[in-house]
Amino acid sequence: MPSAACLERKPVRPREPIADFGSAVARELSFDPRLARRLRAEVEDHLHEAVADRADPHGENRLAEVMCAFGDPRAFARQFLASAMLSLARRAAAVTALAVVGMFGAMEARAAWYGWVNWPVNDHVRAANAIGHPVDRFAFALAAGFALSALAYVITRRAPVRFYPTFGREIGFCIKLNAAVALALMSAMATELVLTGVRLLGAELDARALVPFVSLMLEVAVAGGSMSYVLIMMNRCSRALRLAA
Amino acid sequence: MLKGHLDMIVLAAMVDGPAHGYGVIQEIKRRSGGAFDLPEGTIYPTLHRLEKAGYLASHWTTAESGRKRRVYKMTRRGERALSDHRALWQRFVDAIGGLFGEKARAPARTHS
Repeated sequence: MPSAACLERKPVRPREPIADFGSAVARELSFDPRLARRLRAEVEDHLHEAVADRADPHGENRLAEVMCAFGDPRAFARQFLASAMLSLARRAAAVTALAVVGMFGAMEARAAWYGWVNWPVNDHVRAANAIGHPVDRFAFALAAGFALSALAYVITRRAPVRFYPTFGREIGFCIKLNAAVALALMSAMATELVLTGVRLLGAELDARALVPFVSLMLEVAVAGGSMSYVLIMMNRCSRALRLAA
Repeated sequence: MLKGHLDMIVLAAMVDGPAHGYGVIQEIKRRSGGAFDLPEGTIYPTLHRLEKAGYLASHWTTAESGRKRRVYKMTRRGERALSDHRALWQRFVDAIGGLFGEKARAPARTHS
């Protein structure tokens, strides 16, 4: 006799082979959610159409025939690997390049503001600037250089029709280059944080301090955002490479 | 041989108007008299590639069944590419035809 727990169990959903096939495709392409959603819908529509079109009156055979004609979900997903990985690298490069421009804008705006309002410079600020400025400039120059290299790569590169391991390694390297950009931006931002902190602590805090404070917060958001984005892209890239294996 | 021309085969199958993936496959089969019976999953990477290249544009519609359907349409750029390829292909066919014609006459010349 079935137990009460067994009777309370929800009824099992009947198998839906086409939806399962679509899910399998989406799972394989989970490293690019937008592409996965689009292809899932396209594949499911295709399979439903193909089943409806078959003259074979035996439902099961008809379905199996259609699935067979379409091919294996993993092999299908693999055909999109090269273009999807290049798209990941392109997005990462665009975001880090924008972050570099954003940081530069915030830094320049702050420096111009100091000059505009004749912000007083005491000995502490001078001492901090003597050490901090070269570090800041070096980190920023590094970020700009890496960002330009990553951009040049993604602009000039075309996705091959078929994925090959060297291409995967190139994309991996490009995304690591973007991680280096984000790290350098974080270093520049940390230095700016200290330098601006020293400057603000040594001055009377009034409305004039609003511009340095807001620009600094903008830098923190830009550097942090670009780092988070690149980490997400790195994770997606490693998941994509698992599909290639 | 088919693989190298898949992009143009797909574009050629879309000259009559917008179509979804399954429709494109059926059209290729019909126009080629069943000679090009492609594995059905191969059409989508080609459609996506052509869209990225600007030869096709696509949008979602709702099919009669109520399902979401992605429909592809050839762009002006796609029409130009197809026209260029058609001219190139015609020159190739003429050249091969000429070559085969020469070959067919060659043995006759040696015997005369």
